[in-house]
Amino acid sequence: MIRRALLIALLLGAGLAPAFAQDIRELLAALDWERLAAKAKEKVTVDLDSSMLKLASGFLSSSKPEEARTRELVKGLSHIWVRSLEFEKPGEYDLAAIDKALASFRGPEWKKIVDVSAKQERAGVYLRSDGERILGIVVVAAEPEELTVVQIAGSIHPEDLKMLGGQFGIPKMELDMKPRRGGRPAKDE
Amino acid sequence: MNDLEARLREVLARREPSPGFRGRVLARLQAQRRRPARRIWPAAVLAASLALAAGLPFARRELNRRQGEQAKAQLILALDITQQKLALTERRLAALQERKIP
Repeated sequence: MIRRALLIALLLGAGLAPAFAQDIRELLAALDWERLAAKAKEKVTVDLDSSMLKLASGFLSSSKPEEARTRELVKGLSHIWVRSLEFEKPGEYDLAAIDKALASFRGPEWKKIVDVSAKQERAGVYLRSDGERILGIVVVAAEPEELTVVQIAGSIHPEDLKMLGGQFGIPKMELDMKPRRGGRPAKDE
Repeated sequence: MNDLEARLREVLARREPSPGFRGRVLARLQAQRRRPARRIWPAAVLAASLALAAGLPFARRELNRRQGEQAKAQLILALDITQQKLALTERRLAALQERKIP
């Protein structure tokens, strides 16, 4: 019985990570990331799988409160991907491609938490949920000279997100699971 | 031909080695080659093995520490970028909401 439960948990866990990897791959492919990266003056790529997260967590001090809290948060995570590009000048990427890519987060498992749409900018926070637990978070920030995609996969409790308040400066966000939409701003945005 | 030339010719003139010279040189070379080779190699192999055995765990620990520190730095960078983008999103949202409120 226990063995079967373990096997099911393993299969579910193994199934979740590739599903998330697929999300980020699809998003990056939709944005034609490699082509954009070739034009960027600076790029950041972070890929931390569960083994790297475990390794990193082992080097977080339990005597420092901030690092101890991060250690708790990282426990439930299976992967962190960060892709960020900085360009010399605005207009190096197409905002329409961003809108098209963000449309892929419309599935029933996704909850749009924040969606800000301005003349030259887009910002969105999306949560993946099974109804009870948060299974991941995606943050997309498209600024005139910068484009960033963050995907954090794994089991995240809403308290964990609140716990991040002040962590490395992370602000406390109103993550009440109700979608909020910024809409179009005034012309000077 | 002056005196200097005559002396140089005399000094630089080809002279045959004494009988058995080649044999003596070869014998000495062989003796030198044989002796140290047999004694030094086992000792060198043993010393290298001991150094490797003593150094390997240290090297592994050092490699593990470096990888861990790198992973930690990457984790902090990832959280830092996430924080910046969440803060940006929140600022943009607040600005838009302020404009909507008359």
